[in-house]
Amino acid sequence: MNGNAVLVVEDELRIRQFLRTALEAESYKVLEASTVASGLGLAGEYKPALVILDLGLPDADGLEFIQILRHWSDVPLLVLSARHLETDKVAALDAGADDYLAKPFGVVELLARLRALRRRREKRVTDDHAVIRFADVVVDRANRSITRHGELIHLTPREYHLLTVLLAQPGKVLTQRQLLREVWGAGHSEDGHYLRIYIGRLRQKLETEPAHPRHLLTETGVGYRFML
Amino acid sequence: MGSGEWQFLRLQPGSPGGAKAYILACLATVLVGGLTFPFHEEMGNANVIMLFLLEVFLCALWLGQKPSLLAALLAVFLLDFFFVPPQYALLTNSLKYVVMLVVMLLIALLTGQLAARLLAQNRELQASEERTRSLYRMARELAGAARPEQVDAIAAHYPTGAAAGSLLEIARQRLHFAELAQASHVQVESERLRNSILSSLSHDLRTPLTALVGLTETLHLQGEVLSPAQQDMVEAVHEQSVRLADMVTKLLELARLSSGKLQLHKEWQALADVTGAALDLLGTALAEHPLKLHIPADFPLLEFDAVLMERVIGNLLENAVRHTPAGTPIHLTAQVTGQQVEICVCDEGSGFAVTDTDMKPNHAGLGLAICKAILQVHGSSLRLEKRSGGGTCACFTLPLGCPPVMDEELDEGFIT
Repeated sequence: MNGNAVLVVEDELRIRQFLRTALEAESYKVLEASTVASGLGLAGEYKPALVILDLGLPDADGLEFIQILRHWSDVPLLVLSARHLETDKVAALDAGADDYLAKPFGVVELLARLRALRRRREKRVTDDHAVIRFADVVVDRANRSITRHGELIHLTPREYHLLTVLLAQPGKVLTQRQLLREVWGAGHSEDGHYLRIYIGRLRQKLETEPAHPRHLLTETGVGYRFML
Repeated sequence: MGSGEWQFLRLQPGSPGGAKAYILACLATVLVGGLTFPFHEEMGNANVIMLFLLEVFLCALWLGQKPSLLAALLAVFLLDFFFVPPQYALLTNSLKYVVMLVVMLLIALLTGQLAARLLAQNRELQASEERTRSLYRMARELAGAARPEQVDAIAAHYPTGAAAGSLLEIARQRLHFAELAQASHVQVESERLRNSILSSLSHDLRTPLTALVGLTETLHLQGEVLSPAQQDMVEAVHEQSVRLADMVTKLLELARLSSGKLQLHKEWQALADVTGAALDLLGTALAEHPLKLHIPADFPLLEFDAVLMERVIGNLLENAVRHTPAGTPIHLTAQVTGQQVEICVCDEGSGFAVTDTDMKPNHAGLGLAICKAILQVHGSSLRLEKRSGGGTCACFTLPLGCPPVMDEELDEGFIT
């Protein structure tokens, strides 16, 4: 793996230009490709630490890129798309993308998302802490205990299961289908209301301001994301 | 109708009818009598009777039952009068001849009867064959008909009947369904074209905007190389391009919404999910306005398209921010009233003019037009009202409905 290399697969020269400038300012090494084929070639050759992918490429659909890349690599992948339909986002995430930004996007926002993706990757590689802290909440996965302001919070088995699935991948958008399959099983992958009710309960128990959550975030029409 | 050699043995459905047939029958009988009379001594009367029988049989075949009966009676009379002794007298004393004459009469009657029945059956068969062929021709012509008028013209050319009626009905239904299929095909095609135009327009407009927004932001981030005045300008260009991008997004969305054939992804949703996401999207725009959320924790799930409803909430909040001075609070309230819920975004500023709800070429109008379009496809509508204590409320209602139940059997007790 190439520690700080980012592969940018984007056919628009001007977008690659500012991405390169912004990424190099963050001391990333930038690899550029403008087609799916050359992007896959570079990914295979240099093994970048991050991939930024535009979904609308001239030679093939970006979804194809994700599917082929995922055959051999689980490098964190962020998708950019000028299509604003939620079905596109869900398709990209279900294919194996880690995050999604709609064009036009803010550079600061992009860099923050990339940092989150990288941090998650490094954390997974170096250590696996059983304890996760966010806001006033401490989740101790070894003892299956959750405290808030030092007080014990009671969760049902499914609430706990859902929380741990989200906590396992901070920053990553998990689609509704992925969460339902994981927590309730394949038979419930269309029961979106289960998820909404349980997320609502978790927010009531864990968020400081449940109506304006900071950690258990909704990606409307797509799924949910846990932010540290 | 078969080979020519045995043609004369065939039934003659087209034989002369009426008086002509009776005259022909009589003539034929007289002819047979006349031709055989000079030789009847040598031939013997039995053979003469054979010839008469043959003649009567042929009369039955060619002329029908009644003429053949007449021929038979005449033949019996001729035999009795001219051939059978005593000649030139109607009475015979020989039992042999009585039997002969009676049998001949019976045979003539029976063959006539049989021939007549055959004739009738044959006629019926031919008529039914003709009907079948006519129906077949009609079906063929109907299969080629492409318009209802053509079907009507064909119907006028053929006799009516149950079979013809059902053929016509099938043809009319076929045309009807073909028309429906054509219409829906055209609709699907135009919808597809519209979507693909919107999609490529979206791509073509967003791509340069993305470059513009990204380039100016990057330049701004590397501020140290620019003078403060240049920094300001870069920031202004960035701001304007973000605004332009926002407007393009809204315009495209309005175009998509006003196509009238929008696919709604209605699901049972938590309002708090949508409002939370809308708040996140607005981000710093809300920083100067304290937001008061009044959504009960046990608020029921509602059926709507989450992505679109997030736009409604977001646009209403944005509108409130835009029209009120910094520091004034904005309220987002949701409450159950009877069989529906009412959701309101209220501000405490001077308020936007209530007449400002029509689509006007300004930014606020665009946002509200989108809200109205989205609420309309949800069977709701936007209500703008001035609050008594100053400020404006934008409210809409959604039906409560019956949220699906959740099976919680396997999730009892607390693990922690």
